[in-house]
Amino acid sequence: MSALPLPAFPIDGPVLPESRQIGRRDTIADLTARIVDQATHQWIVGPRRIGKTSVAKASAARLRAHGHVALELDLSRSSVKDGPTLASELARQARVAGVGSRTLAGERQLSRRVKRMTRPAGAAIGAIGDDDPARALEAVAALLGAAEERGADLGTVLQGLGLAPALASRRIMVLLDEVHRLRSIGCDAEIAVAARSQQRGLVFVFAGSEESVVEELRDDGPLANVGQSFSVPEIATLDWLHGLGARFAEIGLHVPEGLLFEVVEASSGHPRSTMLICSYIQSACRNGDAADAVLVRDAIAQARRDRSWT
Amino acid sequence: MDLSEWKRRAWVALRTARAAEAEEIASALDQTRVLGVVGEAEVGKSQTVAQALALRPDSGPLLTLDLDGAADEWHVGWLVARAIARAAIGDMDVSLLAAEALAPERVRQRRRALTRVVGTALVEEAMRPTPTGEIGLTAALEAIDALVERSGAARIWIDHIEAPGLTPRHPVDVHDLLWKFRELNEREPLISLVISGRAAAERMANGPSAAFYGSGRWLTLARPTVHAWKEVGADLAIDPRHAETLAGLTSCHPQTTLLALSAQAVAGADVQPRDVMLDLIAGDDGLNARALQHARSLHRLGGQVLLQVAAGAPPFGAEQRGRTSRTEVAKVLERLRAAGLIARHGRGDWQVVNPLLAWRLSTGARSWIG
Repeated sequence: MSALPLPAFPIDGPVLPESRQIGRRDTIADLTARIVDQATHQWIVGPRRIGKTSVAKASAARLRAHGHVALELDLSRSSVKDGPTLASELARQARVAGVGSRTLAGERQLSRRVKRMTRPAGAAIGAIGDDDPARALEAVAALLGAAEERGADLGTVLQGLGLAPALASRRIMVLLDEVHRLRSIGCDAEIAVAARSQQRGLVFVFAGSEESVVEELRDDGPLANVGQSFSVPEIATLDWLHGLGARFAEIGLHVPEGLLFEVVEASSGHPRSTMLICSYIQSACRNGDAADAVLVRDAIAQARRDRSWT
Repeated sequence: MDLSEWKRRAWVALRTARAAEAEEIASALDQTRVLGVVGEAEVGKSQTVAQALALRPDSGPLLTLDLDGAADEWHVGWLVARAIARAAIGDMDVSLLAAEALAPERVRQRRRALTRVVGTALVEEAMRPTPTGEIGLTAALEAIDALVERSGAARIWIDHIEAPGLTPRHPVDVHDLLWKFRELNEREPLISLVISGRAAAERMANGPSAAFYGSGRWLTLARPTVHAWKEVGADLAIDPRHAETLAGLTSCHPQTTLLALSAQAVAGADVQPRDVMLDLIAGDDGLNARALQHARSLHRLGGQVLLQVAAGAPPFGAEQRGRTSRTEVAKVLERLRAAGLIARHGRGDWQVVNPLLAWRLSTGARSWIG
C-alpha cells in the first residue's frame, strides 16, 4: 500500500516539517526561545489558517531535537472529554517521550537539582522527599503510568510533569491546540494552577482561533493574566518570492518572479491562499504547459472560485 | 426493452458521460488530503465521488461513512465499525460473516487479522445488523488509528453530511463530528478525507467556525451538461436533437432527464419530446404525494410553500403569506432548501429542484412545455 506523497503546496492542515514552511524560521526561533530561555507560557491566537499550529508544532520539533520534551494535544480530539481523559493522554505522551525515565537525566544532575528544589510537588512525590532523586523519578514514571492506564486527577499529572523538568534539566512544552475547547472540557482551573506554579520547566503553549472565546479564557477566569501573547506575523513578500521560487524549482517548474509576485498579491500573502493558487499552477502544468502569465492568472482565477478560498 | 431496462442502460451511459467529472475529482484527490464535493440535491454527488474513488484505489483502505440514517453517536460508531470491516474484509465477505453463513477459511482469516488490530468488540459490532450501543465514536476513531498503524494509509469518505441536520434536535452533531475527523486527519498524515453532501450543508464543514474552514479543496458538482446528456442519448439510440430538447426541458436534472430519455427510448423516434414530457407529467407515480408529505413533515406550512414555489409565486408576497410572518416563511424556505426540495438561484428566485415535481405541482404545465 503506497503512502500519500507530501504535497509541494500543502493546502490542508499544519505544514510539517519546518523546512516546508516558507518565511517562518525567525517566528519559530522566537517562539522556541520564549519557551526554552524565558520559560513563559504563550498564547498563539489569530485568524484561522495563518499557520499558528504549524509554527507551534515546528517549535515543538525543535525542542525535541534539543533534548526537551514536547507534548501536543488538539482539544477537539474525540477521546479528550474531561480532566481525567486529558490527564491520561498527557501521561501517555509523556511516557512515550521518556518523562520519568532515568535516561533523560544524568545522575549528578539529578542530585543537584533535587537538592535545589524547595517545594516537593504532588502528594505522591512529596511523600518520598527530596533526597532520593532516583525514587522521585520513579514516582513520576509510576504516576504517569497509572494516569495513562486508569486516568488520574489532571492536577496531579500536571504536578508530576512539572517536577520532571527540574529533575532532568529539560523543558516540557505542552501545546494545547483548539484551546477554546478548554472551558467546555472543564480543565481551565487545573491548567491555571499548573501554569502559575513555581515549576518553570513546564511551559504551556495555547493555540486557538475562536478569538472571542479565547479572549474570554485569558481575560476572565482562572487563566486570566497567565502567559503572554505570541503573534504569528505576516510572511514577508521577499520570503514568499524566494520560497515559492525554490518550491517550484523542486518540482521542475520555473515561474518568473514577476508572476510569483502576482500570486502573492492575489493572495494578500495569506499562507493558505498562496498555497492554493500554487497548487492550481502545479495542476495546470502537469500536462507540460509552461507557467506563463496566462496559466498563472488562470490559476489565480480558479483558486478564487474554489469554495475553500478565504 | 421496457422502461426500467432503458433506465438502467441510461444510468450506465451517464456514468461514462460523467467520467471527466470523476477524473477531475480523482485528480483533486492527488493534491490534497481533504477534499469536499458539494452540490444541490439529486445531482449525483455520491455516484460521481464513488466513481472518482474507484479511479484511485491505491491510497489504502477506503472507509465509507454514510450519515444518511445515522441516529446517534452509537449508530455512527457502528457505521464506522462496519466501514472498517468492509474495507479490511470486503463487502460481500462481511455479509457472509454477519449472516453467520458458511464462510471460507480465507474470510475467517481476514476477520481474525482484523480482530488482532482493532479488537474483538469492534469486529463483533461490525457484524451486527444494527448498533448495540457498545461502540461509541471515540472507540471507533481509535480503531481507525490502529488500522492506519497497520495498513500505512486510509481514506475516509463521509457522505450525506446534510442528513442529520434535516431532523430538528438530532443527536448527531455533524459540526462536532467533523472536528473529530479533522483532528484525526491532522494527527495521522496518512489519512485522507473526502466529505460530500448538499451545498446547503456546506457551512457545517467549511464555514468560518467549521472544522475544514480554508482547508483542502472544495468542488461543486453541477448537473450533467447538455453535451453529457446527448452522449447518454446516443447510447440509447435517441436522436441528438430530441436528447438536447429533453435536457433543456428538464434543466439537466439527473433523475428527471434519465427518466425522460428512457421514456423517449421506449416511445421511439416518432414521438416528439414535448409529448414524452407531457406523458410523464400526467403520470402518477406518487412523487407529488410523497414530496408534499415530506414538505409538511418539515413545517406545517411546508406543503403550502412548496406549491407556491412550484407555481412561481413569490413566497414572501403578501398574498401568499397571509397572516404568516416573513420570519416564519423564511424558516419554511430554509427547511425545504436543506431537505433538497427547493433551491435558490438568486435573490427571491426559488425553484423546486426536481422539474418533474415542479411541473406536476404547478398549474399551466402545458404552457411551460410549449
